[in-house]
Amino acid sequence: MTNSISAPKISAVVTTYNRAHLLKKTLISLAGQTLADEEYEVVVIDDGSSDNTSQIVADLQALVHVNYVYQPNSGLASAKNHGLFYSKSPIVLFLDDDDVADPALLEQHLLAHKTFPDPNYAVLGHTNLAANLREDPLMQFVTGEGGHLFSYEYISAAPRLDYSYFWGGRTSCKRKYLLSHGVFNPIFKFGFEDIELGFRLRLHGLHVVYWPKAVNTMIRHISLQRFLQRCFRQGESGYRFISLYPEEQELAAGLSLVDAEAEWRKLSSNHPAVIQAAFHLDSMVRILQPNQLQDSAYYRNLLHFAYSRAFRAETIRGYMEARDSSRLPLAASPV
Amino acid sequence: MTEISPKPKLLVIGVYLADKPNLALSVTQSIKSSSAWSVDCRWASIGCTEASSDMRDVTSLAISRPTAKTVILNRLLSDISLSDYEYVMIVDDDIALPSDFVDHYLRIVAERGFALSQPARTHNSYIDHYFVAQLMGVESRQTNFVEIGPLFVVHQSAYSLILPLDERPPMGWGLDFVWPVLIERQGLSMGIVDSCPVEHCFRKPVAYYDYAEADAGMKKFFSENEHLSYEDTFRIFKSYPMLAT
Repeated sequence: MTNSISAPKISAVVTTYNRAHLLKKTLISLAGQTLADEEYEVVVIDDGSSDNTSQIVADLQALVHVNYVYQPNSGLASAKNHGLFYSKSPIVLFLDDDDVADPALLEQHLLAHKTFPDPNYAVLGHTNLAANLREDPLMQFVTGEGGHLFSYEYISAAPRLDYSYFWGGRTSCKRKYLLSHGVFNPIFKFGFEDIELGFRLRLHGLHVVYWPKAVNTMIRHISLQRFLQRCFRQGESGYRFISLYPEEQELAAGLSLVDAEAEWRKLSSNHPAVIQAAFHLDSMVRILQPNQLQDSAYYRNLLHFAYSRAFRAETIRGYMEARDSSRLPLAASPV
Repeated sequence: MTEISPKPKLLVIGVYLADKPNLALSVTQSIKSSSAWSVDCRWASIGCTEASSDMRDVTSLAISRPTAKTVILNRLLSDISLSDYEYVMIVDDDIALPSDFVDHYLRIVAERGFALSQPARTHNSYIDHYFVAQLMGVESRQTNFVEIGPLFVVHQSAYSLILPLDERPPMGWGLDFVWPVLIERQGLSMGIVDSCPVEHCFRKPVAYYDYAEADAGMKKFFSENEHLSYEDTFRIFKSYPMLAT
């Protein structure tokens, strides 16, 4: 004897922070889905934006009904939990505010879950880089060879992937599975909130299925300066992640953060030079014609080497700052 | 001479395991420190150990044999005139409360008009239903779920729906899936307060009673009562952001 509430089939949960101009494109893309309006809902969690995010959402309400929810800035993990709790559908897809959905994105996620109905199966969609960003040397690197942002080059055709592919912003799950086995840990403000949850869910049989027909497109250009900041924050979160599980010896290796302290001792003295070199090379290649860089393996390799070293240096610096800083919240036990 | 209006009254009831380490005393002290509420605190002890001198005044009932929690709580309630109280708070003996809990919590509950409510759980707590985990940046949320423990609060508008507790499901399991139906039918609302979460990590739940029996009892109870399904439960209808301080 149950009291049932009618619900859409899939909820698209978009977390956003001060990216109103990009969010607008995300929402317009969600308005044009192949699913009927009543089959999906859009939930936007505004994580404390100070720009015109709320106005943009209000302006678009006629086009796509959005459940808009504001919270003071609390970080990605908290925003995603808020979206999860707010959503009404049995399937929840977490989306970033800088991705544009293919018209069939939600339909394909649903199809994937119909194909893999077991509660412990999550679905990883495919993200393309927008055409206007593909020639950008940095964007090309971090979504290709470097794989820092996302990269599908190494995903095999294996039907099941492990928790390390539980990538935020492009993964859908059964809502009940998350509510039963784990939600995002709010100590993660940025970075690793997704993988850390996946790490816990692996104990409850999590499998990630790659579903290449569920497509969205990353439309945000990231500058080198911004990407370095991102690496720093990833390093901070990496430290928190490892601190939560001191008994898990393999975790640091999985996150490529083994013996970060020793690495920092070697790195710290020439850290400014490493960063500067990346900036110099990045500036240099931007005055070349795109095909000039492609034609010159030497310069391309040099650039990629400089990017890699700089990203690594900032990640390790973030790790060390998190370790040393008393500002950071204490590592709560995993939820 | 200005007439001072009497403080509103809060009744707090709970059960503590007298033979086991517990936090009943610190819970009592925290709750009694309220400056805005006149608090009556009544515990039942279960076990063979006599109440300590600190707990003696607030221990109204001593039970030595294993007894269902709902039965004990109802016995505590049986000789109390509930209409004297604006709220009834039902607490477990293994939680840690934040400072100024009662005043802060009940101010929000009153503002939001929650007839049935509970504080969120800190993320380092034992959590059965992750929906009750604290949402950072959120003051409170109107929901269709309030868990039966470790602390929940009933406003006088919902006494007739919730109290005395239905004793059919052992340990009260499953009541929290029936409550939302009752609350909605009456046109009332329920919610979770995130801005003053309780910590529930002192003792692992289900440690001192039979899980299988409680689970079977819940299923039988569900077959006889209108309730929300798992899929339909755990929803936020409205959330209230934390205001800057």
